[in-house]
Formats: sequence, structure tokens, C-alpha cells
Amino acid sequence: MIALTAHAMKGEQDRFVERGFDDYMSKPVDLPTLRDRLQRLSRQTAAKPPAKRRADRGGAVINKARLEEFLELFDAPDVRDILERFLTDSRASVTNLQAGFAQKNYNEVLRLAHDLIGAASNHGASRLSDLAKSIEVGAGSDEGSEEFALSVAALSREHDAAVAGIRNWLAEIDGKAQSGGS
Amino acid sequence: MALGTILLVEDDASVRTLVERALSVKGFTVFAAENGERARQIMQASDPAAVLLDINLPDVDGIELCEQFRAETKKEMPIVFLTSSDTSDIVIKCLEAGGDDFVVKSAGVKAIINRVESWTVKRGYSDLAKTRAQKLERLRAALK
Repeated sequence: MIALTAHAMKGEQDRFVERGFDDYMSKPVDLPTLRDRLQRLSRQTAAKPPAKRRADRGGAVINKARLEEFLELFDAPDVRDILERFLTDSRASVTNLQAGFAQKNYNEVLRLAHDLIGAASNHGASRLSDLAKSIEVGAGSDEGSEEFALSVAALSREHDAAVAGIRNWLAEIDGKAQSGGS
Repeated sequence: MALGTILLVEDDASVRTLVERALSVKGFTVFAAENGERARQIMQASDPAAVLLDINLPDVDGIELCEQFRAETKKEMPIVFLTSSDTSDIVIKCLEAGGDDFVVKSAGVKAIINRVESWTVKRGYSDLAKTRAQKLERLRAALK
């Protein structure tokens, strides 16, 4: 599904993908570009089952492209080791951030959120990183609001989702290695 | 194959470990520092081929640390900033402080490693360090 839109702004485009479009084009429509997009989409549809395509979208828990980079750099046991270490470290960051918030220590909240943005995005936990980003932004201006409190609370759930997403990916890699190796 | 030494300054343990391991895989020797104080000690004791420098450090602003490196040492190694965002005011500050480049952490570990390689291997900085070391070696030999 391609969104045809008069809004060519970057933020607008991301919203379409979030809402379930596969691509977007701004009007007026250039016919050769439209043909290219349609060809690209039909190739993608042929290559991937629908459920998988949904998981690969912008709002996905994990960014598989980031994780796949790890396989180019490290062997499988090291990839597992690195990711498990991240999951442990980031769990501690989430706990500390929530404790900092409970104590109204907003500098600590800001520092931990900032580090979590970089660590999570680097380790493929894209939605955890996005949530940390919204907490970093709010920590300077909006820390008393209900919305901010909800974001801080949601970190636990989002971290759980990252754990599940990353472990699933690791299991997929193991599965591929076994079926490829035997 | 040794490509030279990289000083990595990053307070977040998981990012530090990840980047350190990736640089080692690529053949770099890595000195990792979790804060500005440790980074200063390493800088005094070594001659890195490049520096990867986080902006948010617990004890000092990375931008200030970069200015100190440039002011206090005669070393001309490339300094690449690690940032969480690429807003233009941050980028300008990095470059004004004597930094050479920046890479956004969300671009991923491969992008970070590629940036270090392009500032060292491709531009010959690690060769420069090697030539310097060889010259020193010859001088030492001549003095004996």
C-alpha cells in the first residue's frame, strides 16, 4: 500500500509507515518513479511473507539490520555474548532510571536516558531507544507530567520486548546455523 | 596485523565493549576509557592513531576534553565524536573544538568502525604512526 500525499515533510512520511503503509509518494506523481516503486514493492511482497514484513517496519521492537551487522563482525558465540551483556546492562539502566525518577533525581534520569538511546540503538533495540529518546526530551521540561511518568514506567515493558525480540533473533540465527551446517 | 592504537572514550559499558571488540576484530589495538580522567592518562602515555570520543561523559564534557587534547598535546591524530544526535549545533561544536568528524551512535557499530578505518587506514594515519615508529627505531639503533 503506497500513500499518495501532498505532505512531503520527513516527519509526515514516517507517520505513514507507522500507520501501516509500505511506502509513500508525494504528489504530483511522477509515472516512472511510480512504476519503480510498484516493481520494488511487488518484489518485496514476493520475497517475504506478510507477517514478517510487518515486523520489519519502523515501529518494530528490534532493528534486524543492526543485528545482522554483528554477524559480519563477530562469530555467533560472540554475538550472543555481546547481546546478552547489553540486555543485562540495559536492564540495570532501566531499573536505575526508574529509581532516579522516583527520587526526583532528574539529572540521573537524563544521563541514563541519554546513554540508553545510544546503547539500545547500537544493539538493535530500536523501540527501546525511541522511548529513551522521548524520556531524554521530557527530562528537561516535562518531568512532572503524567505522560512522562507513563513513559518511565513503560521502559520495563519495552525492555522485556527487547529481550524477547533479541532472543528470538538469536534463536533464528542458531536455527539457520544448524540447518546450514548439517 | 596491527593497524595502530585507538583511544575509545565512552562511559556506557555495553557500547564501549561492543565498539572495542569490533575494532579489535578489525585489527586495531584499543585503549578504552570510561571517563575523561582515564582518557587523559592514556593520552599522556600513548600515541593513538585516532580517538573516538563520546560527548556525554560523567566527569567532563567530551567537547572540552577534545579542546584540552588539542591544546595540551602536539599530537595531530584524528578525533571522531560519538554522538546521540546529529543536530547541527552539536556538530559545529565538535568541529570547532578541534574534532575532525562525528558519527551518530544509532548508525550502528559498522558505521562507527568504518569511520575509524577511513580516518586511519585509508588516509594513512596508521602508516604515519608506523613511519614515525620506524624513524625512532633507526635513531635508537644509530645512538647505540
